[in-house]
Amino acid sequence: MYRVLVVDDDIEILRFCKHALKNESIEVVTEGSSYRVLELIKVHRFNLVILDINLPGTSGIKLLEEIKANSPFHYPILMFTAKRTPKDVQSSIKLGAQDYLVKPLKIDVLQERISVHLESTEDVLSVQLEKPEKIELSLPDDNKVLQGEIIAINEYGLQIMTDFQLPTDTLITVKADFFESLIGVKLQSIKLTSIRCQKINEHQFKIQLSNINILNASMIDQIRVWCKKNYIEMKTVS
Amino acid sequence: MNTKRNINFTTDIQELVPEYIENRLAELKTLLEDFKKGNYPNIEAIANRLKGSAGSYGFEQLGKIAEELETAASQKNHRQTNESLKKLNDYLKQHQNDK
Repeated sequence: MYRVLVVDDDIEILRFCKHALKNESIEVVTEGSSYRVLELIKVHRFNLVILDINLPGTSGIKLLEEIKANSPFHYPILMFTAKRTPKDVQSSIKLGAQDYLVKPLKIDVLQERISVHLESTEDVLSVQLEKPEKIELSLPDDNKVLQGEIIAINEYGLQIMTDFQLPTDTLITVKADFFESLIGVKLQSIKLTSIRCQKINEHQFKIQLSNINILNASMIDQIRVWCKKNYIEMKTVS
Repeated sequence: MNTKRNINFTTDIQELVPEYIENRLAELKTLLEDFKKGNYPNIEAIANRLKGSAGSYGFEQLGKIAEELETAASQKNHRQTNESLKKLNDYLKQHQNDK
């Protein structure tokens, strides 16, 4: 699965991009302002980032510079520009942008250029656990403890197989023992939100737990080391 | 870990068009209010955005009208701004039922 971040203050451009790039192998994340972008790129691994040159507040050029300086990951960055202003294009390329797209965007041009750049990048990292790890989840409003098995760790968070169903966006707490035993990282009890629950059959549900604070570059590296130490193959999945 | 794969897109933009036009009609009300108040900077900003998106949704002519409006507003040209807003209004009404 590729993850693409599009940053533009025009909601119609974001809507257009989300629609144009709708594909089973691409997740499009949109942002309307620059202030959250640096936080996003520090904790999420994107395969491609697209920035509008004329963002309010922090300009696209400035944001490009900050992303290049602060992101632990490397990926192509493309710029949206209203005109082929030589100064803007030169500044972008000099600061590390791989390409630029002139507005108004045409759907076929956008799709073609994004394909080219994505096909040169790596998939989002995901670790499939050959031997599922047990996990306990507790809900905030009662003392009920639910059991499950972690089957994969990815940059969204955790994938868990369970025999219970939870509504999307339930706030739950995960015992930190899991991380400590799994990858030797001592953590406080983790609160996870943004649950997506998928019914596999009558007795099984796959739950994706996501929290942007759970996995970052440093933790992914530790997972990589842990996998190597335990002879677990790291796989990328679409 | 590089994986080469062909990414196939099959989406066209037509299904987004009705909402785009509806949003523009709502935005037109704001533009007309701004015009009454003489708020040319806001008209210019909206026109600039419109110029950047119209062609993406297949409305090249709308993009040209937006460019005219942007220029007129930047010059605080009352007559030209009024004319461009009329053109905008006519264009949007004409395409209101596009599906």
